[in-house]
Amino acid sequence: MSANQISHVLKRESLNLIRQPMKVLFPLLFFVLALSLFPLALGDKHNLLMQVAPGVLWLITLFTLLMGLESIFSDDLKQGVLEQYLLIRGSLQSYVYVKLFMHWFTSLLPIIILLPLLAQWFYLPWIVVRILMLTLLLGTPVLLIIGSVGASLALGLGQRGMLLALMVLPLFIPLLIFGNGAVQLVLQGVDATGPLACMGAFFFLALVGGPLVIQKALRWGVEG
Amino acid sequence: MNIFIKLLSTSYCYRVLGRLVIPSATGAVVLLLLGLWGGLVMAPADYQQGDGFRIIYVHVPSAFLSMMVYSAMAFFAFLALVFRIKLANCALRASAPIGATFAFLALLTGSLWGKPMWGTWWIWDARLTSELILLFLYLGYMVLDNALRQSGRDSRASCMLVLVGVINIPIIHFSVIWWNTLHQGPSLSAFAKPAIVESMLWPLLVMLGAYICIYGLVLVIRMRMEILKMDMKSAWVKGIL
Repeated sequence: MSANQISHVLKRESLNLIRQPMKVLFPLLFFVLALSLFPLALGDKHNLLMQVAPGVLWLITLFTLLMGLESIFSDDLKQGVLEQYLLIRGSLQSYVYVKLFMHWFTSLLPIIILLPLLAQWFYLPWIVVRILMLTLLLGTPVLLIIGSVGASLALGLGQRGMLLALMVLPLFIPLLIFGNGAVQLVLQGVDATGPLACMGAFFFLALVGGPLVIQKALRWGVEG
Repeated sequence: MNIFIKLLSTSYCYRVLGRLVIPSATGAVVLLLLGLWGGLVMAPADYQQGDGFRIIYVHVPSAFLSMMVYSAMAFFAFLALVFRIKLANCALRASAPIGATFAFLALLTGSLWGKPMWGTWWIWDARLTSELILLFLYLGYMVLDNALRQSGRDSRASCMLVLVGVINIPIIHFSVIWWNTLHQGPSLSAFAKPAIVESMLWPLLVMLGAYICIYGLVLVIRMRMEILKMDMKSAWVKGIL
């Protein structure tokens, strides 16, 4: 994984994004739209909205991520990019790391940045918004890596959306529990270091193990 | 060592598995009858739960087997992925629906017991939740394996999913326990380790043996079918059929 290879993939991904800005906009729009449905469905009840907001925000983030995962590797497979990288370099290591980072940077980071604004729909106080952003910052990379493992394993198969959801949703559960747990603790005025530390551990575990599995699975996907 | 190498041949393995059907079926029937007789007739009624406790004789073995089968699947997946043993893949494929059935039965019988005892069909207790997630993991594997097969791909990806799942099972289990204690769950753990009397215990152990035999029996039958499917075009299968 040399700097040259990384910068090459980075350049390609950035060009892709500049030429298809919709790729950044769509997840964000979906997130905002889906979020606005909750107050409409539950009614404008101050306390209720405040109580369900952390869980709702986490879930909608999770589903936004899931929808974006469908096409994360499949376009590159169709266009032969994966095959070329494998042929030229013999490994997909730099590709996987850069791809994961760019995907997180463009489709998940904007959500987290927009969170303080959207939290006003749910009357959340700043202290809760802060911990929510922190858990999402720690949690979304792990969700993305786990989801990408699923996406790479299901590469090139039909009906990917449903298939992917069935495969990876059970694996998302620990993150959901710890992320929400931390927020609930802060809501009760208790120190939330414990669950945050656990999420940090998941982050490093996923960062070390996930890309290995993804590389392997992508190679199988290319072989067909 | 010789016998292991021989077992790698599909036709030989098919025949050996065929010879295992009768013994495992006999074991299953005998142990099942003995265990049911011991559990339903011989064991005394519980002083608190009355006869309702007797569901333990089908519930606990199902729950135990649902976890045992997943561990077996992880072992098969490892063999299939690392040593490229196709027969391990047959065993893996054959095991998944059995394990899913056991997980479903554990949930169903627990729910039937829960209504009269706890007054509710379902409660978000840590054990129930992990069992439910285990069922989802089984289904996820089955869905992926099915999709792979339909598009003519080999099943390395689904083996990998089983291994990823097995790493996640302890994490899921402990996170669910943590989640449950956070919410101050009802103390139902009396169900977990009842200091059980000997007259109630032995039928349980016999039933456990019976369930293991049932797993063995269904595994053998399903595995034979998978082997036939895998080698459909070879001469020896055409000879049999």
